[in-house]
Amino acid sequence: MDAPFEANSGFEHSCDDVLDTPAHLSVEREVIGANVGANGYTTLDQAGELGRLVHLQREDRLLDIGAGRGWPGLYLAEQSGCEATLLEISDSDLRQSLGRAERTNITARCSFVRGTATALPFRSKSFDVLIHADVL
Amino acid sequence: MAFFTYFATPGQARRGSPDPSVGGADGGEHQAMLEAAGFSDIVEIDLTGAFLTTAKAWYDGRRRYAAELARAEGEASFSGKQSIYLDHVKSVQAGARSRRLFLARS
Repeated sequence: MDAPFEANSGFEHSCDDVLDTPAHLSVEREVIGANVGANGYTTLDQAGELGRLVHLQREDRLLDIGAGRGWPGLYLAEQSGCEATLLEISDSDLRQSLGRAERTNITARCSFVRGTATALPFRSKSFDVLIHADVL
Repeated sequence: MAFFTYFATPGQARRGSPDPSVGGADGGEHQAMLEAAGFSDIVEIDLTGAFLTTAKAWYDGRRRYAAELARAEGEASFSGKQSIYLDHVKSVQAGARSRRLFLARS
């Protein structure tokens, strides 16, 4: 695979969430390595490593379970060119993900689905790669 | 499939945590569950050191902006999140919590 996971991604954008104050963005950049809508423990480097380890390619269909605000699922989609489906129980988080996808012009190959891992609303073999990050 | 997860370190007693994500399967149980579900080529990468660094960075960074963040989040939410980050720091330092990346093929 070519190495699409470069740290100088254009992915990061501040979002409109009430919690994305300058202070939030400053801390997130310091901790995660970029402003990507993260509040967990998957750093930019780890997301890139994840993409490399699963050999994510343009033709893949990715499912991010418990996708939150789109980190790292949207980032992996943006970097690899793959199709991505984000499954998330929170409507607010899904809206944030959609906004993030719109800002990076990847909505055409992204789907946003409200649901949970315990009742996946997909047919078998719908995806090539499944990921999740610290989902309860 | 690939997933990051943190959990009570195998062999360590689980205890109460402000983070509801803690208390699930331990590392060995993840392996067994993946195998039982038909996954193969299971790879487990320990990220506990990085987890400690990240949790501590969240706690310390947020503490520096405590007033602004508490205004935005609400005092209770801010304190609750800080408790979670600090709990992770203390638990990892005590050897009681781990974070790993699991990779498996179906």
